Amino acid sequence: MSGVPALRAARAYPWVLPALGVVGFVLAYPIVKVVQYSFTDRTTFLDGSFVGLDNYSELLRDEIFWRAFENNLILLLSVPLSIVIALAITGILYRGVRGSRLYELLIFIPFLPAVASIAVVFLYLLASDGPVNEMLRGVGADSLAHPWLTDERTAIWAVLGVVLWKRVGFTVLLFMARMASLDRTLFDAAAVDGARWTRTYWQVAVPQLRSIIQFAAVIGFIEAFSWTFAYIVILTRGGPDRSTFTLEYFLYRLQFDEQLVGLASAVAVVLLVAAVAVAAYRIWLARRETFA
Amino acid sequence: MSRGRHGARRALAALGDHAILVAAALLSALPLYLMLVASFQRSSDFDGVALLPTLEPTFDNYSTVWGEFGFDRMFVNSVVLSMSAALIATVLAAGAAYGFTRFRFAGRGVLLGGLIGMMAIPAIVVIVPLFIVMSDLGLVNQHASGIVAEAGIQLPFAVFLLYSYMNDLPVELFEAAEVDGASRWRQFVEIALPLSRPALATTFVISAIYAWNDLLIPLVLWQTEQLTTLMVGLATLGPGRTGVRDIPLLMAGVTISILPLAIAFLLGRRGLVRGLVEGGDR
Repeated sequence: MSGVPALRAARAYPWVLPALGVVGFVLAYPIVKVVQYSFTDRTTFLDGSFVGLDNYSELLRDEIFWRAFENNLILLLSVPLSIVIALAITGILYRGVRGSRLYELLIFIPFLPAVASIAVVFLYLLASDGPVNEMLRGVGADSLAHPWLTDERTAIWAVLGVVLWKRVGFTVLLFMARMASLDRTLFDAAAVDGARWTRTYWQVAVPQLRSIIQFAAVIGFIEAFSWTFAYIVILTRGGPDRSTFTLEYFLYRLQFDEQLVGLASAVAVVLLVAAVAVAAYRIWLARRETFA
Repeated sequence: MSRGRHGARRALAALGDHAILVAAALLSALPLYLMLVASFQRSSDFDGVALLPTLEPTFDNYSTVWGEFGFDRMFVNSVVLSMSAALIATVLAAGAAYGFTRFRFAGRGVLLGGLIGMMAIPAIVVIVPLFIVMSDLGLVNQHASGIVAEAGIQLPFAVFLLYSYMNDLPVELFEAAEVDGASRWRQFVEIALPLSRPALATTFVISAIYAWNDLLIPLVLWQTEQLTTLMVGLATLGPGRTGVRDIPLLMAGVTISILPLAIAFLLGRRGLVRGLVEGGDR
């Protein structure tokens, strides 16, 4: 590499600037603007004026904001639940039962379709006269049949069920990919005996999966705090009686139904802080792993 | 302990393992199975639930959603959005990945870190200003807004994938070409691109899938009927919205939205799975 620094930069920029330009326009500039908007009473087409922390204090006093936050936390339960279920399934698959490739493929199915597609299918499955209730009645569990998505007590839990259904297969896939790089001979002796296998798996293999488990937790966290929008907008539209609002859905409604840009931006900043915190945690984990 | 008892216990444990796997596989496959079953039912025969395939399957629901409910147009819009966004993201990311691997310049680390770090930013965080700037530019309800926004959101991950790949290419190849007097452009076209073909394909397919599956960007930036994508169509068609209560029809629509993914998955399973694992669930 030769030449004066300025010249080298001038030669490199044509390669990197187009990508930087698009990302700057779509992500970086809007991030700056959203922080700025959050301190104003701006509406969609009126600039508004500086109001300091008013939007934030209004949020903190808003019952819906807290309910949305709580619902995000409930959906966050999908992270530990999917990890535990996936670990159990991975343990059995890795031991190598007959037909495990087919099982793996079937378990992976939920990951592929879009959240929107899946959500519409579950609207049908969970309807009061839909297949889930029909099957419950079929096995004599009539009392369990229930309008899952339209009853305030069960709606957010039903959404959690759908999120979980979509997550587990992907998590199994992650864990299986990591298991493939472990030393198989560690387990061969134990594989002969079921009880010993279970012990060996949880005591020897699972600790070695630590970094991939952390990875699964991080992306699960990101999802529960940023990608629940499509689930909510289709499954419940925040209802019944606004009981299933999440922060993303709240933001969307503030912006596109009420045109309250300032307030919507304050919600965006809350999500931004969560995203940055997770990213920082991820970097910290990676550093510790490298230098340990 | 006798061998026989040992064997019996082992058989029982294996049975338990199978039972768990069968349950997991059934639970995973059942919703899409029920979707398919309902989609082939005649709407007039459908009474809220269809657990078993009908003996008289019909394609009527498919032709109805396709023709009368505008799924043909939505399908085209989804193809346009996902292909254009994936193409732009892949091309720009290939250039950037090459620039970051083959040049050392002031600000390189910060720019690369910042670009890849944007992977952590969910679209919902930027949607408000993005909508405002797009409407200021008069681009809302124009093809450009959705495509550029979608490409921008996919770019950090595309750069991450391609940079990791190109950075591992043997540097001697480039040095030899340099000695032979090949320009940086020729090295890019004749060495970097051909050698990165698998990574380029993965990047393109994954960006296309994410864009195909995305709801938020087209919902906000493509609000006209002419630009409705499949996901937006499904979101607005669902029961309660416009009041479409015809489940077989809806399920045919959902099946159409999943079909291209199933085909892409069957064609390029291995590379795809590896890329998805690296990219995380979105």
